[in-house]
Amino acid sequence: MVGLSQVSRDSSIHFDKQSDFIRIKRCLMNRTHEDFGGLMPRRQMLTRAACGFGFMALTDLLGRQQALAMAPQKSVASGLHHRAVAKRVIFLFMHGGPSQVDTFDYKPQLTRDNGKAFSGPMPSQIDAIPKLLGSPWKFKQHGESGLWVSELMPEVAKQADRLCVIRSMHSRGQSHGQAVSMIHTGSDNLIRPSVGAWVSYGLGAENDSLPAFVALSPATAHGGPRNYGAAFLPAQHQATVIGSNGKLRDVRIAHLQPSDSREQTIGLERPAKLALIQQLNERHAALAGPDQDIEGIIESYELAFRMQKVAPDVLNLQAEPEHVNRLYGIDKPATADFGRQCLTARRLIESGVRFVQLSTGNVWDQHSDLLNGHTKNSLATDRPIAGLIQDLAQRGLLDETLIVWGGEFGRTPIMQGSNGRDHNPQGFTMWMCGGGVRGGQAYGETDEHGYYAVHNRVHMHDLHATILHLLGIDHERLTYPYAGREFRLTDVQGRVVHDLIA
Amino acid sequence: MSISNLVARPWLSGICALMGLCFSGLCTVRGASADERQAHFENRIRPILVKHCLECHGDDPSELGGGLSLLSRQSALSGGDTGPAFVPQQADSSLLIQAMRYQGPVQMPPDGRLPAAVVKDFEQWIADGAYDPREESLADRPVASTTSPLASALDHWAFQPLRRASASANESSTLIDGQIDRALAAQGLKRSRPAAPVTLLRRLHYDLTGLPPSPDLIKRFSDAPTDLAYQAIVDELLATADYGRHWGRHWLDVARYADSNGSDFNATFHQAWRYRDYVIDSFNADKPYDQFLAEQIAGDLLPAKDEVARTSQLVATGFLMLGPKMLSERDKAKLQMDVVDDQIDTIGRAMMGLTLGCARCHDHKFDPVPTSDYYALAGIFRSTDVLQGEIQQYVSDWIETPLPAEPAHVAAVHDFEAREKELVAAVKQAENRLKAARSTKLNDESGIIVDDVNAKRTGDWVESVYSSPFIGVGYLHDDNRNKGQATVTFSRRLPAGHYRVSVAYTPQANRSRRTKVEWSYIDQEGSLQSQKIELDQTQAPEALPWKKLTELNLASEQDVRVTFGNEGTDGYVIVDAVRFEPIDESGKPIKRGDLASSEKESSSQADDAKVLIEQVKAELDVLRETLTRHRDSRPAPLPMAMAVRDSKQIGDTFVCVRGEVSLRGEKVARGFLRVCQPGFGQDENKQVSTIAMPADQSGRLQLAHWICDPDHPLTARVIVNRVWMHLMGEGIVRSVDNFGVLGERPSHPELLDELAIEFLRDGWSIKRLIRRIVLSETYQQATEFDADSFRIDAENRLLWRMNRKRLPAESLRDTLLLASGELDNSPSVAPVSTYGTLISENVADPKVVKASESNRRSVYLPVIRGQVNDLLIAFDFADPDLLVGRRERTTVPSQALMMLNHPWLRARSSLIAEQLAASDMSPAGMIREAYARVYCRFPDDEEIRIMSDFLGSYRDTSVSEEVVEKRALAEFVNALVASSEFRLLD
Repeated sequence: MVGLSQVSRDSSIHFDKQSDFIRIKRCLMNRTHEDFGGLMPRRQMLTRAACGFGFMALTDLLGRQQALAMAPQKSVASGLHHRAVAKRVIFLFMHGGPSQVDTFDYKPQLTRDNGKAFSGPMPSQIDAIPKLLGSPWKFKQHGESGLWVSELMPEVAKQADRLCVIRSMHSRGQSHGQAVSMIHTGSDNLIRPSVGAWVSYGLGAENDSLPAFVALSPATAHGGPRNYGAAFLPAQHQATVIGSNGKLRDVRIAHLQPSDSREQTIGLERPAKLALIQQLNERHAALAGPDQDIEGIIESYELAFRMQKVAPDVLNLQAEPEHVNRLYGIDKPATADFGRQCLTARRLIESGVRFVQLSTGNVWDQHSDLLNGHTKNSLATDRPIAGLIQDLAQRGLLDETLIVWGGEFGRTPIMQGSNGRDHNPQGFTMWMCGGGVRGGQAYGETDEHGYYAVHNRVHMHDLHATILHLLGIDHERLTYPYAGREFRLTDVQGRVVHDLIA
Repeated sequence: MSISNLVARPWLSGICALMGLCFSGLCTVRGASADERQAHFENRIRPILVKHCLECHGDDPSELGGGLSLLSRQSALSGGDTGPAFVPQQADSSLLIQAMRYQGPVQMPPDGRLPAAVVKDFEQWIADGAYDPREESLADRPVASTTSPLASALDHWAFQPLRRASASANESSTLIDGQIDRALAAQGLKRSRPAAPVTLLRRLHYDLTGLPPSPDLIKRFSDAPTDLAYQAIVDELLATADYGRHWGRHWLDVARYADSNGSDFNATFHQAWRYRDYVIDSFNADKPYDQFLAEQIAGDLLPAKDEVARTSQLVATGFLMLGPKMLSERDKAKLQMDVVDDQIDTIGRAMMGLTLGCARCHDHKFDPVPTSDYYALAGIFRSTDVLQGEIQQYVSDWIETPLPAEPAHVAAVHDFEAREKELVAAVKQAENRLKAARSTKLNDESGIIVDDVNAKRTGDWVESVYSSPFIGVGYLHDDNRNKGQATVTFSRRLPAGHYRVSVAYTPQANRSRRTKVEWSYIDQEGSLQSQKIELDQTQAPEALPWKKLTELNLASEQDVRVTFGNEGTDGYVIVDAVRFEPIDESGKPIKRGDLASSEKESSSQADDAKVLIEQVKAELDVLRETLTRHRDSRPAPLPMAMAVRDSKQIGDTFVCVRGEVSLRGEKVARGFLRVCQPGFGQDENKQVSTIAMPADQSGRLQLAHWICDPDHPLTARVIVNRVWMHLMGEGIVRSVDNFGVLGERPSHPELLDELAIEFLRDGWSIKRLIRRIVLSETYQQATEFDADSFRIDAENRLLWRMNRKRLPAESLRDTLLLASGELDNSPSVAPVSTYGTLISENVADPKVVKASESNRRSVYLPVIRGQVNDLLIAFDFADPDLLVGRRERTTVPSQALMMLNHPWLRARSSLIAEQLAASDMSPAGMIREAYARVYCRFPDDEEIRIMSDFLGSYRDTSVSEEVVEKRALAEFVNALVASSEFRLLD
């Protein structure tokens, strides 16, 4: 492996990437003096942030500074702005919008009023008819906390004492497009960075050889890459994608290896070629003098080489023992696919990936045939999700891993057609687990029929603010300059919901 | 709320005592005494304000939610962004009450509706005059900024008029070098030596055309690298079609060009390619830049000298439509304002380097753009149509405008459509006749029969004759689908009397067990009688096909309706006919002779009907066949463009408070930015917006004239700076899309102005501007490092050397296609015409689109939002969702992985290797050839040695020597492509 010469590493290469420079400067300004022990980072420490997966992002830089200042203390759970309780996030995206009144928001009045006319206000432009539809599923209280969960989620229900259920979510967007964009980017109409990109930008990855942000089988519908994109943030903060539309397929990162398997068998080829490329690069560098772009390219090959060595092992699900496969439901056809997603997510975060988002694909949209649709989708996800929670807990990772479950909106308690439910951003349920949230609680309320969030309402902006807060980020201070102003995930809104936090 | 919290606020001291006093006894508020009003406020109002409101509306005067302070009666009455919080004595029209009721766009408090009793307290409080003893203190007032950006606008360099600094440098080529050298000398620096001829040639060739120089040209120029030869090459390159393909693409970056909508509904922009070609052609023709801009803003409103000009002007306005739109937004007023915002923001940044989007929600915090200026522009674009109709429910469609076409073509399409219309009408008429024939009464039944052909359907029904017996010529079934969506209603006006009502169907195991049947009529009291039953259609009716439903007793003539529905059914729902049999008091059928005469004639009618039915059916078959054949001969569609047009409703628009469409502020007259008006700043009090807007036009034409006014301080500076950036690597103003206060300052302000003035003098000619820059010695200098200069000016702002640039993604791809001999450099016509309305469906598992797989030059690949060619995207192609003036310059491992493993890149390397292997060149010759194709230069002896070593060391005993040689060559070519020398422009 051709390395970077010591000389070029130490030469004071200037910072070409203006946007990164502004970011660093900006965040340094946002940190209080004490945050990093009064040490100003040396310039060359910043250089690498222009390269790589963003793993040399802010915290890393500053964390290293801190580590230097406070040696031999190490592994400080330093957030960007305050102490982090969660180090990473797994976002389980239930695309299409699962129904709150059939899963976690128990509404006995709705059951009693089944079939009756609904006389309350209805949002304009929906297709549902004003007739209440009771849940076809029974609810029971679970765990010591007595959290209500329907029979759709028997396995997740067993984890009730770990769940922090938010029954008073509300968001913008009566159609999927806006609401999907809202949950992922905090904006219902404009092109904005996704939550994972913001987290990558703010925190970077914990592992130099892996990306900070991975999207597993994201949908191509409703904005597709926008929902895991970096928008105007530097491109390295966009998600690395594996699989699509709810299918994980062969669990590979694109171009990590030659696609032609024949070529992989030739032993000599790759290292020799890599050496040749680096030799060419070094010759170019020698002629050009110190140059940020050439150094960057040289380093990108080193990183790529490391990633080629590390990533296949991380993504190798075969390495898991049989009982773990069973825990995630990988042994059964109905649960195998989402089970593999959940297991991959665990392996990724275990290896230092910061933000992993999973997708069921756009399957929860039961405008009709609620009974069959929700039964099938719940079956496909219930055991895998419960398995993920248990597995993380057993490995001691749950405390520092925040799991977020939910769809872009919920569904109406009134019926569409004869047996379906329409979109409902006015009131719905999401839950969080692990990562410093207060488990075993149901926060907020919808009205008696489960239509509108009425008490302790939590807007999507509030949820985003809370997620960032748990990660040690002040949502008002994680900003990026673009088109003449400072942008942030929560736009000009968002409140941290402290009652959700343990 | 804790007491300590309360007393922490000075104005609340002593309140606890008051509260204690008032807890006893109920306060009657209506007609209340002063004491009672005070008690009501202190007991019921103040605690709520403190607990639920003041955190955002008072505690921090510098950060008031919605600009509203509720700290005193005065502050509440002076109100926030949407007006006063309340109107005393008018609770219902008070915003505060509407917000508390959660009725309007503002819902407060945000974390949940307060109990109805509390809302009632506030209603009473306001009804009673809104007593509030709290005094306004000056410190509680919202902090107003001391100087408005508008007042100090002319302090900012970019809003000042263009200035010619000195008369010294009129000679065009020394203009640049003189200015650069002066600035360098001031820092004790000097320019680098000229770049090596081959390096310069590669730089120039890519910069002007996006393609590498041919090996011939390399040889020619390195043999005689004279200034004259260089100039000749510059002129030659500016005259090639490739120039426009490269420079047009720069503009497409800022025009957020794409061939699909992206966003939530990735609808196909079938006509966008015409705009792409318009841009390329405009650059190649060196269309004056002011004209180029004006056409994109108002091409439809400009006079056109001929049809060709008219076409291209219409197509140009596609610029205003290319943004990604949230088409499924159900609030169409909001969607329209989002489109308007995209247009204003794009024009602002692309043409003027101003971030106008900020002013949608509030006065621009830094630049002199008040919200009212934004909505003055918004009025122009609200008066311009972009959207029209729907692709599907809730999903908006956009306008396509017919373009001028050949008269013969128009005639052919017209004839085709006329004939098609004729045939469709004939088919329809035959269908109606068939329906009428089929509805003839049937002879072998008693009573009054209404057949399914005469019933009213909703939803989808399938006509069938599969199961006998049936009434008439067939029956309907729901195909066991779309449950709850389909109904069939039979209605019949019946004379007074007793009737037995029956329905006809054939039973089967696959039938619905719970077919919904409902009958209704108005009884003698005038009230609606209706009853609903579930019909088990798996069971045989008692008198096949008739099943008795009910008996009715009509006191007077009535409309009786029988409705079938498939809601909640679990099998095929069959609907055939309904029969009303007159019966006597005892329930026996009344003989047919007793019926009205019309019913008796049915027998012969039915026989006639059968003949008629056959006749009409035959006719219909012929007609349908003719129609199909006619449609096969459809001429090519008339050319259409994605082009805007003036709206039918022209007018000014309202400020949307905080950008919320539902929160209307003041109406603003259409107009432009005050800051860039002629005469701005000369007289403080003078109203500068003097251009009257036409009542019958949107005002885009006036907007175009204003932007293209040579005196506009921004337009020329912005484009000159863009061109400079593309050639020099960085702009004189590095923030190329932001010339506002938050943008960077120019490194050479005088040079920028000189260049802009020369640009205007040259008739807004971009080619001349490019020529002037590339002929300068500054452009031609080497990129080489110099430690001393670096110490003084590490960022090379003063240009002591040439900046090392990235090879654009398109050039990277196109070079490989050229090197492998595969490049298809022909324009692509309608590249997405084969795609339907949506590029990809919003379903659980949509089909994958492969729109960008061809060997065309990259600028001609369709840009599918969300699915842009992965190679281009990886190497910083402009994100088509955003306006990109300066492309990202990323270096990430995924690029390295692609270079090593991307199948397309590997295939190009292999192909080049095969060509080399098939030639009769020596190994050294092959190496030289590969260097020439990839690096645009020839290798030195050491490089030949290194590469020979690599090729020689490459071994694999499992395959033949020939295969090994090709693989080794392929890896060698791949290594050249992957290396920094190829990816950068020295």
